[in-house]
Amino acid sequence: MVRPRGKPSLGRQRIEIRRIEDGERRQVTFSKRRTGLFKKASELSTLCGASVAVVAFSKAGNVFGFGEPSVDAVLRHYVPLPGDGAGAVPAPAHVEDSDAPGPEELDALRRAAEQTKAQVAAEQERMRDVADKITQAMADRQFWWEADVEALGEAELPEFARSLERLRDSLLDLTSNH
Amino acid sequence: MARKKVKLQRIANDAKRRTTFRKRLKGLTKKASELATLCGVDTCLVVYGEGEAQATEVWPSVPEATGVLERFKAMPQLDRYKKMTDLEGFLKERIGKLLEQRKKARCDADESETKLLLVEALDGRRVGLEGLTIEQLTSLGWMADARLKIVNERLEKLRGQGLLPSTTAGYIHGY
Repeated sequence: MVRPRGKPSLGRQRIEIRRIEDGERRQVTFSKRRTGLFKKASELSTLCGASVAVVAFSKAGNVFGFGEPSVDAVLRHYVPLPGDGAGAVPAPAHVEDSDAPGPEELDALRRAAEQTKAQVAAEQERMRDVADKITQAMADRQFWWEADVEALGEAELPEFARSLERLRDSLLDLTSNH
Repeated sequence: MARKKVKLQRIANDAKRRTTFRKRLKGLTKKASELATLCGVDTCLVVYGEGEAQATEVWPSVPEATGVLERFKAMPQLDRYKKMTDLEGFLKERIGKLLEQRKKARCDADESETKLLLVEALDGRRVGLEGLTIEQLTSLGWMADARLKIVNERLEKLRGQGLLPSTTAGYIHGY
């Protein structure tokens, strides 16, 4: 019977909303949360027909932006440049650029993303299934596989080497005949 | 909170769309606030609801957002647009990252399957190595070879330390 899988990680932890002191962790958090923020902004835009612009600076001074229809279009309307008339609000449906993708193309991209995400999950599931089978197959001889010098006695290592050699030689025979 | 998968397209029902807009806008500002606080960075948000002529939401506040946008405008053009995306760009980036993940996951899973074959073969449960594809046989060969290298290195080390005779052929315990 397969042993129940333990939890691979701690899962979602509630964190305190305070400045992160550790530089590396802060950078990772910035990267992840920025992506998440952009994702939420894109959903708001798509679901509700809103025009959005998000601008975020990194600690290093790089600027990251997300805008639908574009950061420029939204900001230009918010703070019109001298010379701009009071133009119409840049709505997402308003395609100024003929190269810009239509809703069908965007939909296709979304589907492709969901599909790939599902494929990643499938591969990870396959990996876990095989890992279980390996654990079962190795039973209590885990150390045997790892060729751990401490755990394997001096007599066992050469035997293991011989088994591997025999296997490798059979494989060479089989593969060279194809 | 309702946890139903929402289809990513414009919500047709007017009332539902307005409600969703208010809820999600609130969530968006919360996320922006968390990002700004956790990472101590300048952030701002400008949102126009559908058909609105005036900005529905300017976060954190008009003066603060204006400050961020001034900083943004002060940047040289090249730096400004290096990391700028719109919906299309964002989706393409996401797909790219997912493809990388898929490649790695596939690779890890394939390697695990080869390892399983190796363990089974060494156990004597793969008589004649029947029914395996040429790819499986090849991968198996490489893995067996790699393991052999490690084992032989360890054996050499033991021999060097004098823990093993130079040849183990014909070595009989107790004599």
